[in-house]
Amino acid sequence: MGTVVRFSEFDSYLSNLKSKGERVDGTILDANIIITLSYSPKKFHTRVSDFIKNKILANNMNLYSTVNTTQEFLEFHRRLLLTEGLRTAIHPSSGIKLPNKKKQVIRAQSSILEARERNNGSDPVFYDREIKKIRDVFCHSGSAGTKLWQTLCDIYLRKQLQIEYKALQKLNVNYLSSYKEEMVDLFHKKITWESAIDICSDVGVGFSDAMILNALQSTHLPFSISLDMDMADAVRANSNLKDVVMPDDLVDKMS
Amino acid sequence: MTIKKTTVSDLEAFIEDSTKAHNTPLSKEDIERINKISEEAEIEESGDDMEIPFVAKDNNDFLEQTQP
Repeated sequence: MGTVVRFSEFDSYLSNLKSKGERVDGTILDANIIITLSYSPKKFHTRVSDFIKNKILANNMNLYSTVNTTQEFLEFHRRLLLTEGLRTAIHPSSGIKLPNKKKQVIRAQSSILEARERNNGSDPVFYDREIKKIRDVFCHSGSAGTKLWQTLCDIYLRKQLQIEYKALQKLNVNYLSSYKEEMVDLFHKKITWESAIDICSDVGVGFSDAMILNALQSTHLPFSISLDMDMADAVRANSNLKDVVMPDDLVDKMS
Repeated sequence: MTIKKTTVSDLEAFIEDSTKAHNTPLSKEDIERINKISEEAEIEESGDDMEIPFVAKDNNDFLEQTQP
Protein backbone atom coordinates (compact mmCIF):
# COMPACT_ATOMS: atom_id res chain seq x y z
CA MET A 1 0.00 0.00 0.00
CA GLY A 2 0.98 3.64 -0.36
CA THR A 3 2.20 3.81 -3.95
CA VAL A 4 2.06 6.43 -6.69
CA VAL A 5 0.53 4.85 -9.79
CA ARG A 6 1.00 6.21 -13.33
CA PHE A 7 -2.02 6.52 -15.65
CA SER A 8 -0.21 4.12 -18.03
CA GLU A 9 0.10 1.47 -15.29
CA PHE A 10 -3.54 1.68 -14.25
CA ASP A 11 -4.86 -1.41 -16.08
CA SER A 12 -2.39 -3.76 -14.41
CA TYR A 13 -2.83 -1.94 -11.07
CA LEU A 14 -6.60 -2.43 -11.26
CA SER A 15 -6.30 -6.11 -12.23
CA ASN A 16 -3.97 -6.60 -9.29
CA LEU A 17 -6.45 -5.00 -6.87
CA LYS A 18 -9.27 -7.14 -8.22
CA SER A 19 -7.20 -10.32 -8.04
CA LYS A 20 -6.55 -9.57 -4.34
CA GLY A 21 -10.32 -9.33 -3.84
CA GLU A 22 -10.31 -5.59 -3.04
CA ARG A 23 -13.44 -3.54 -3.56
CA VAL A 24 -12.93 -1.17 -6.47
CA ASP A 25 -16.31 0.48 -6.77
CA GLY A 26 -15.10 4.06 -6.63
CA THR A 27 -12.34 6.61 -6.30
CA ILE A 28 -11.80 9.99 -4.66
CA LEU A 29 -11.10 12.89 -7.02
CA ASP A 30 -8.85 15.70 -5.86
CA ALA A 31 -10.37 19.14 -6.58
CA ASN A 32 -7.60 19.81 -9.13
CA ILE A 33 -8.90 16.89 -11.24
CA ILE A 34 -12.41 18.38 -11.31
CA ILE A 35 -11.04 21.86 -12.07
CA THR A 36 -8.88 20.47 -14.90
CA LEU A 37 -11.88 18.65 -16.37
CA SER A 38 -13.85 21.90 -16.31
CA TYR A 39 -11.24 24.06 -18.01
CA SER A 40 -10.03 22.85 -21.42
CA PRO A 41 -6.90 25.08 -21.71
CA LYS A 42 -5.39 23.22 -18.72
CA LYS A 43 -2.34 21.17 -19.70
CA PHE A 44 -3.76 17.85 -18.47
CA HIS A 45 -7.39 18.42 -19.54
CA THR A 46 -7.52 15.86 -22.35
CA ARG A 47 -5.45 13.26 -20.54
CA VAL A 48 -7.55 13.51 -17.38
CA SER A 49 -10.81 13.52 -19.28
CA ASP A 50 -9.81 10.43 -21.32
CA PHE A 51 -8.59 8.66 -18.19
CA ILE A 52 -11.81 9.28 -16.26
CA LYS A 53 -13.90 8.22 -19.26
CA ASN A 54 -11.92 5.15 -20.35
CA LYS A 55 -10.50 3.83 -17.08
CA ILE A 56 -12.81 4.97 -14.27
CA LEU A 57 -16.31 5.23 -15.72
CA ALA A 58 -15.70 2.33 -18.13
CA ASN A 59 -14.87 0.18 -15.08
CA ASN A 60 -18.14 1.19 -13.44
CA MET A 61 -16.52 3.16 -10.62
CA ASN A 62 -18.33 5.96 -8.77
CA LEU A 63 -16.78 9.38 -8.25
CA TYR A 64 -16.32 10.67 -4.71
CA SER A 65 -14.85 13.83 -3.30
CA THR A 66 -14.55 15.72 -0.04
CA VAL A 67 -16.78 18.66 0.85
CA ASN A 68 -13.94 21.12 0.14
CA THR A 69 -14.17 20.38 -3.57
CA THR A 70 -17.08 22.70 -4.35
CA GLN A 71 -15.34 25.56 -2.55
CA GLU A 72 -12.04 24.94 -4.40
CA PHE A 73 -13.85 24.57 -7.74
CA LEU A 74 -15.84 27.81 -7.33
CA GLU A 75 -12.76 29.63 -6.03
CA PHE A 76 -10.76 28.71 -9.15
CA HIS A 77 -13.58 29.87 -11.43
CA ARG A 78 -14.04 33.11 -9.43
CA ARG A 79 -10.40 34.00 -10.06
CA LEU A 80 -10.51 32.84 -13.69
CA LEU A 81 -13.71 34.73 -14.53
CA LEU A 82 -12.43 37.92 -12.90
CA THR A 83 -9.10 37.60 -14.73
CA GLU A 84 -10.82 37.11 -18.08
CA GLY A 85 -13.27 39.94 -17.38
CA LEU A 86 -10.73 42.49 -16.17
CA ARG A 87 -8.28 41.74 -18.98
CA THR A 88 -11.11 42.16 -21.48
CA ALA A 89 -12.18 45.42 -19.85
CA ILE A 90 -8.82 47.07 -20.57
CA HIS A 91 -8.61 45.78 -24.13
CA PRO A 92 -9.09 48.61 -26.67
CA SER A 93 -11.67 46.61 -28.64
CA SER A 94 -13.90 45.91 -25.62
CA GLY A 95 -15.83 49.18 -25.85
CA ILE A 96 -15.35 49.57 -22.08
CA LYS A 97 -13.91 52.89 -20.90
CA LEU A 98 -12.58 52.43 -17.39
CA PRO A 99 -11.05 55.39 -15.50
CA ASN A 100 -7.27 55.74 -15.96
CA LYS A 101 -6.08 54.66 -12.50
CA LYS A 102 -8.29 51.59 -12.64
CA LYS A 103 -6.94 50.65 -16.07
CA GLN A 104 -3.37 51.18 -14.84
CA VAL A 105 -3.71 48.81 -11.89
CA ILE A 106 -5.30 46.09 -14.05
CA ARG A 107 -2.55 46.58 -16.64
CA ALA A 108 0.18 46.35 -13.98
CA GLN A 109 -1.21 43.11 -12.52
CA SER A 110 -1.77 41.71 -16.04
CA SER A 111 1.92 42.30 -16.88
CA ILE A 112 2.94 40.30 -13.79
CA LEU A 113 0.54 37.54 -14.82
CA GLU A 114 1.80 37.52 -18.43
CA ALA A 115 5.39 37.12 -17.20
CA ARG A 116 4.27 34.22 -15.00
CA GLU A 117 2.50 32.56 -17.96
CA ARG A 118 5.54 33.07 -20.19
CA ASN A 119 8.21 31.97 -17.72
CA ASN A 120 6.47 29.25 -15.70
CA GLY A 121 3.65 28.14 -17.98
CA SER A 122 1.19 29.18 -15.28
CA ASP A 123 -2.56 29.33 -15.80
CA PRO A 124 -3.83 32.71 -17.04
CA VAL A 125 -5.42 33.36 -13.67
CA PHE A 126 -4.77 36.17 -11.18
CA TYR A 127 -3.76 35.18 -7.67
CA ASP A 128 -6.18 36.29 -5.00
CA ARG A 129 -3.68 38.92 -3.77
CA GLU A 130 -3.55 40.43 -7.28
CA ILE A 131 -7.34 40.68 -7.42
CA LYS A 132 -7.27 42.33 -3.98
CA LYS A 133 -4.76 44.95 -5.22
CA ILE A 134 -7.06 45.79 -8.13
CA ARG A 135 -10.15 45.84 -5.90
CA ASP A 136 -8.39 48.18 -3.44
CA VAL A 137 -7.79 50.77 -6.17
CA PHE A 138 -11.46 50.66 -7.18
CA CYS A 139 -12.93 50.62 -3.68
CA HIS A 140 -10.59 53.08 -2.00
CA SER A 141 -11.26 55.83 -4.55
CA GLY A 142 -14.78 56.55 -3.32
CA SER A 143 -18.38 55.47 -3.70
CA ALA A 144 -18.42 55.57 -7.52
CA GLY A 145 -15.26 53.41 -7.66
CA THR A 146 -16.85 50.91 -5.28
CA LYS A 147 -20.05 50.90 -7.34
CA LEU A 148 -17.99 50.29 -10.49
CA TRP A 149 -16.23 47.30 -8.90
CA GLN A 150 -19.58 45.88 -7.74
CA THR A 151 -20.96 46.27 -11.26
CA LEU A 152 -17.97 44.44 -12.78
CA CYS A 153 -18.38 41.60 -10.27
CA ASP A 154 -22.11 41.41 -10.95
CA ILE A 155 -21.55 41.25 -14.71
CA TYR A 156 -18.56 38.91 -14.70
CA LEU A 157 -19.41 36.58 -11.80
CA ARG A 158 -23.04 36.28 -10.75
CA LYS A 159 -24.57 34.38 -13.67
CA GLN A 160 -21.33 32.60 -14.64
CA LEU A 161 -20.65 31.12 -11.20
CA GLN A 162 -24.24 29.83 -11.04
CA ILE A 163 -23.61 28.11 -14.40
CA GLU A 164 -20.37 26.60 -13.02
CA TYR A 165 -22.15 25.34 -9.91
CA LYS A 166 -24.95 23.76 -11.96
CA ALA A 167 -22.34 22.20 -14.29
CA LEU A 168 -20.56 20.66 -11.30
CA GLN A 169 -23.81 19.07 -10.14
CA LYS A 170 -24.10 17.35 -13.53
CA LEU A 171 -20.86 15.47 -12.85
CA ASN A 172 -22.71 13.51 -10.13
CA VAL A 173 -19.83 13.47 -7.66
CA ASN A 174 -20.69 11.95 -4.27
CA TYR A 175 -19.51 14.03 -1.30
CA LEU A 176 -18.05 11.72 1.30
CA SER A 177 -19.73 11.69 4.68
CA SER A 178 -19.95 8.88 7.20
CA TYR A 179 -23.24 10.42 8.34
CA LYS A 180 -25.00 9.81 5.02
CA GLU A 181 -27.15 6.69 5.15
CA GLU A 182 -26.22 5.60 1.62
CA MET A 183 -22.49 5.75 2.47
CA VAL A 184 -22.49 3.79 5.72
CA ASP A 185 -21.31 0.70 3.87
CA LEU A 186 -18.37 2.63 2.40
CA PHE A 187 -16.84 3.59 5.74
CA HIS A 188 -15.04 1.36 8.22
CA LYS A 189 -14.16 4.23 10.58
CA LYS A 190 -15.10 7.86 11.18
CA ILE A 191 -13.19 10.68 9.47
CA THR A 192 -11.51 12.68 12.23
CA TRP A 193 -9.45 15.85 12.39
CA GLU A 194 -6.91 14.04 14.60
CA SER A 195 -6.00 11.63 11.80
CA ALA A 196 -5.91 14.48 9.25
CA ILE A 197 -3.41 16.28 11.53
CA ASP A 198 -1.30 13.09 11.64
CA ILE A 199 -1.21 12.91 7.82
CA CYS A 200 -0.43 16.63 7.53
CA SER A 201 2.41 16.26 10.03
CA ASP A 202 4.26 13.61 7.94
CA VAL A 203 5.45 15.98 5.21
CA GLY A 204 3.42 19.13 5.89
CA VAL A 205 0.81 18.69 3.12
CA GLY A 206 -2.11 21.12 3.06
CA PHE A 207 -5.30 20.13 4.81
CA SER A 208 -7.37 19.70 1.65
CA ASP A 209 -4.86 17.00 0.56
CA ALA A 210 -4.66 15.57 4.08
CA MET A 211 -8.45 15.31 4.19
CA ILE A 212 -8.56 13.36 0.91
CA LEU A 213 -5.92 10.90 2.15
CA ASN A 214 -7.69 10.76 5.50
CA ALA A 215 -11.03 10.04 3.81
CA LEU A 216 -9.37 7.25 1.80
CA GLN A 217 -8.08 5.68 5.04
CA SER A 218 -11.59 5.74 6.52
CA THR A 219 -13.28 4.08 3.54
CA HIS A 220 -12.94 0.93 1.45
CA LEU A 221 -11.93 3.06 -1.58
CA PRO A 222 -8.44 1.99 -2.67
CA PHE A 223 -7.04 5.09 -4.39
CA SER A 224 -7.48 8.75 -5.20
CA ILE A 225 -6.68 10.61 -8.42
CA SER A 226 -4.72 13.85 -8.23
CA LEU A 227 -2.44 16.26 -10.09
CA ASP A 228 -0.79 17.47 -6.92
CA MET A 229 2.77 16.34 -6.27
CA ASP A 230 2.21 17.00 -2.55
CA MET A 231 -0.21 14.08 -2.53
CA ALA A 232 2.45 11.84 -4.04
CA ASP A 233 5.02 13.04 -1.49
CA ALA A 234 2.61 12.33 1.36
CA VAL A 235 1.86 8.82 0.09
CA ARG A 236 5.55 8.03 -0.39
CA ALA A 237 6.38 9.28 3.10
CA ASN A 238 3.88 7.05 4.87
CA SER A 239 3.52 3.44 3.79
CA ASN A 240 0.25 3.13 5.73
CA LEU A 241 -1.51 5.50 3.36
CA LYS A 242 -3.44 4.34 0.31
CA ASP A 243 -2.48 4.94 -3.32
CA VAL A 244 -2.65 7.98 -5.54
CA VAL A 245 -3.04 7.75 -9.32
CA MET A 246 -1.45 10.51 -11.43
CA PRO A 247 -0.51 11.32 -15.05
CA ASP A 248 2.85 9.84 -16.11
CA ASP A 249 4.50 13.26 -16.70
CA LEU A 250 3.99 14.26 -13.10
CA VAL A 251 5.31 11.00 -11.69
CA ASP A 252 8.35 11.21 -14.00
CA LYS A 253 9.06 14.74 -12.76
CA MET A 254 9.40 13.39 -9.23
CA SER A 255 11.74 10.55 -10.14
CA MET B 1 -30.77 8.49 -1.26
CA THR B 2 -28.53 6.23 -3.29
CA ILE B 3 -24.95 6.62 -4.44
CA LYS B 4 -24.89 8.74 -7.62
CA LYS B 5 -23.42 7.12 -10.71
CA THR B 6 -21.57 9.24 -13.27
CA THR B 7 -21.99 8.34 -16.94
CA VAL B 8 -19.83 9.42 -19.88
CA SER B 9 -22.62 11.79 -20.97
CA ASP B 10 -22.67 13.36 -17.45
CA LEU B 11 -18.93 13.98 -17.79
CA GLU B 12 -19.35 15.48 -21.25
CA ALA B 13 -22.25 17.68 -20.09
CA PHE B 14 -20.14 18.94 -17.17
CA ILE B 15 -17.23 19.86 -19.47
CA GLU B 16 -19.51 21.51 -22.02
CA ASP B 17 -21.57 23.52 -19.51
CA SER B 18 -18.52 24.63 -17.56
CA THR B 19 -16.97 26.01 -20.74
CA LYS B 20 -20.17 27.97 -21.50
CA ALA B 21 -19.66 30.21 -18.48
CA HIS B 22 -16.39 31.47 -19.96
CA ASN B 23 -17.61 32.17 -23.45
CA THR B 24 -20.41 34.62 -22.81
CA PRO B 25 -19.70 37.93 -24.55
CA LEU B 26 -20.87 41.06 -22.78
CA SER B 27 -24.13 42.53 -24.04
CA LYS B 28 -24.35 46.11 -25.30
CA GLU B 29 -26.40 46.91 -22.17
CA ASP B 30 -23.66 45.54 -19.88
CA ILE B 31 -21.01 47.67 -21.61
CA GLU B 32 -23.23 50.77 -21.34
CA ARG B 33 -23.87 50.02 -17.68
CA ILE B 34 -20.12 49.78 -16.95
CA ASN B 35 -19.31 52.92 -18.96
CA LYS B 36 -22.00 54.98 -17.22
CA ILE B 37 -20.59 54.20 -13.77
CA SER B 38 -17.04 54.57 -15.12
CA GLU B 39 -17.82 58.19 -15.98
CA GLU B 40 -18.85 58.87 -12.37
CA ALA B 41 -15.74 57.05 -11.12
CA GLU B 42 -13.54 59.07 -13.52
CA ILE B 43 -14.88 62.33 -12.04
CA GLU B 44 -14.31 60.96 -8.54
CA GLU B 45 -10.78 59.88 -9.54
CA SER B 46 -9.83 63.25 -11.02
CA GLY B 47 -11.12 64.85 -7.81
CA ASP B 48 -8.49 62.80 -5.93
CA ASP B 49 -5.74 64.42 -8.02
CA MET B 50 -6.76 68.00 -7.23
CA GLU B 51 -4.63 69.63 -4.57
CA ILE B 52 -6.57 70.96 -1.65
CA PRO B 53 -5.96 74.70 -1.68
CA PHE B 54 -4.33 76.13 1.43
CA VAL B 55 -6.67 78.40 3.27
CA ALA B 56 -4.99 80.81 5.66
CA LYS B 57 -6.94 81.01 8.86
CA ASP B 58 -4.94 83.93 10.17
CA ASN B 59 -1.90 85.97 9.24
CA ASN B 60 0.56 83.62 10.98
CA ASP B 61 -0.57 80.66 8.85
CA PHE B 62 0.12 82.68 5.73
CA LEU B 63 3.59 83.66 6.99
CA GLU B 64 4.51 80.01 7.76
CA GLN B 65 3.60 78.96 4.21
CA THR B 66 5.55 81.71 2.48
CA GLN B 67 8.73 81.49 4.57
CA PRO B 68 11.59 79.49 2.96
